[in-house]
Amino acid sequence: MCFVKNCLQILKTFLKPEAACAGFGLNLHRSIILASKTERETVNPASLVKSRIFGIFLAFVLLCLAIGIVEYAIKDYPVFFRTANLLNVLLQVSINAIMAVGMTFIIITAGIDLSVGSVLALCNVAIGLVMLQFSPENAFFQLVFGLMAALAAGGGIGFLNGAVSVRWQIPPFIVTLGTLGVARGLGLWLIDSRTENLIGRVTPAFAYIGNGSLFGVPFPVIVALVIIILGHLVLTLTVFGRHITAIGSNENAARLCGIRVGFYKIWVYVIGGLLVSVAALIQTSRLGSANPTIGQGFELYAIAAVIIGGTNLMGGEGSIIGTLVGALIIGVLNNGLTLMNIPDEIKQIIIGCVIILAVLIDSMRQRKRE
Amino acid sequence: MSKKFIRVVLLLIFISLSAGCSKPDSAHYRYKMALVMKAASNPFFARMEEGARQAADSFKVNLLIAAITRETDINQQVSLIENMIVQGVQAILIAPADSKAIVNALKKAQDAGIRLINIDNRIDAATAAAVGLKIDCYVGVDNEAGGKMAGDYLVKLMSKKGKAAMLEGIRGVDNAEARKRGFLKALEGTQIELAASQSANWAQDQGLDVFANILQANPDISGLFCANDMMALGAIQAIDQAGKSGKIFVTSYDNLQAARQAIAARRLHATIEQHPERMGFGGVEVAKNLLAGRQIDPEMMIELELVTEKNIR
Repeated sequence: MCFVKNCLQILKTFLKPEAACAGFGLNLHRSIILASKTERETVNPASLVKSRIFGIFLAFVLLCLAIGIVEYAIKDYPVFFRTANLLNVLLQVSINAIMAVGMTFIIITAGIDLSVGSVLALCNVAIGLVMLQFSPENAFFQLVFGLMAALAAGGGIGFLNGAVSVRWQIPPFIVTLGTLGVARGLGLWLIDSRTENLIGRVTPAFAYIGNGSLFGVPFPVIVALVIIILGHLVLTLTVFGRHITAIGSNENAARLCGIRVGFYKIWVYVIGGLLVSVAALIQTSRLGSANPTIGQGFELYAIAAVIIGGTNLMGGEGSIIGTLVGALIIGVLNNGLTLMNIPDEIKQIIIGCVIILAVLIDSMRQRKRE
Repeated sequence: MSKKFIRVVLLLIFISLSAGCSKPDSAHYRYKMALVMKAASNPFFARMEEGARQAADSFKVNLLIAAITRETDINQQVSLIENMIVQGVQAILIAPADSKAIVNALKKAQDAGIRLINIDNRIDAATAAAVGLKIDCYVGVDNEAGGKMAGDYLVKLMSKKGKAAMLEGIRGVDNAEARKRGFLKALEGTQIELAASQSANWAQDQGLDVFANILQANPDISGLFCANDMMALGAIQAIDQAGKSGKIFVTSYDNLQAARQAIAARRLHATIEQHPERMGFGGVEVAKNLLAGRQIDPEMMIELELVTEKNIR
């Protein structure tokens, strides 16, 4: 019951026109942000974030050029800048980008979600097992119940993460570290540690989610784009976005201003979990199987995308567009280095260095401003 | 309230512990030994356990079985061995999570008079010698021969020419490197060019992405060897998505159920069966003979089997 009430409430919050709460919400939270970061009193936080994104975007363009030039120099058949390969990169990035949008919300509230990789695997198992309950001719039931299984698994673990950390004041780092194990174990247990083949056993329409394309653009890329745009709008234009920023910036101040901190924090984890469900639908369709071992270390990729994208790990500021660029940087590196046949150990070194470098450049630029 | 709750939890823990430790009638058994494996969630080790249980039943052996939760968690495996020493087993069958880091724990077991059988992942000989550890018998497969077997079949399918690629396991892991060596040996003396060789870390999702990238750079590849089935299951999805189904031959390693289904659907062309249940059975049998004072060979090699569409079950 309480859950349903919460649902209605959040819907109302989303729908509330901006003007109605501008007088209270907007100004108040600006002041909270400024009050908590006194050293930045003169800097407008919005423009600070914008200039950060510009810097990261520049780094991304330079990285692409560098990969293109090196590949052109060492390979007699360079493909990096071909349309087919660029679409391939976008396709591979889309899953991480979708999960990273949820992670951005979470990190903005000064939280973290370490369980996303395991939850991806759990959703993947849930989708597969539920869909196999119906025959492939029952396309409608397979798709509807598959979708519901995914959302239930992702949203459920997300709710657990949020509710436990809020109710008992446990740091989300610890709660999600726990659910990382819980979700992985649950997935393995449900499917008896096997890999179930889904091809030929589920409706061909399901294959479209991960493998189809619209006007030549892969369908997962379109889904990711829609989620990124929605996420950006929610973060920048809605009361929800302002409130979670305020919470991450100074939780006590936000609470004193009457923001229902626990309510928002729980919802941030639920949204994060639901986005993992969406990513899992795409991944399941792409892999054509239910495999409880997938997604190992995906949480690190999602967190890396968010951090490279300029979101503050301490909470209070962040940007979805930055996260998108962060995910693109990781995706382009993975793709470009494989095209050049660079061995895995060197790949790991390069990607690690780029993550540190991106954050280093960003923090140096910031220090200069101050 | 909370004190009561804690008491209930403690009571439950105590009950489950004492239930877990309830001893079977030990007079009934002739020997007591332990099988310490890697992840029980991996079907490979589940089958190994099955074989070992069968052997334990038929040879009247009291067999304790323990496995770690994460396949690379060497610390947990060390404490499992220590637990087994305390429980007074006469022999330990060990499938080590790490071929070097395990030797100190095993030396402790040896000093306690326990006989040691090494299964599957082979303990590093030099490291064992350095601490004075002597393994009584090794039961396992020759991964290099397996890689060569899968490679030879791929070479045959490709008519000894064209471009091939390889998806390797985790770099630096013994069986990954051995399978790679075997595959490279199979390519020797043919006109096949190895266009790309990348690690996909044993994982299906990485196999999909890495091979999609390799296909971008080398669209004319006609053969692929994957060091395990998981990566192959990802790679064949990449092949389908690139519209190249039927144009690329794929062989791999492990013979998972999903791989057999892919072979039946002609999306995968061959895989290698290692018979883990024979390793489990053989390990118990060797240990029994050893404890009975019989002479045993220092090595027991389990024969590999090439599984193609002709012999899938």
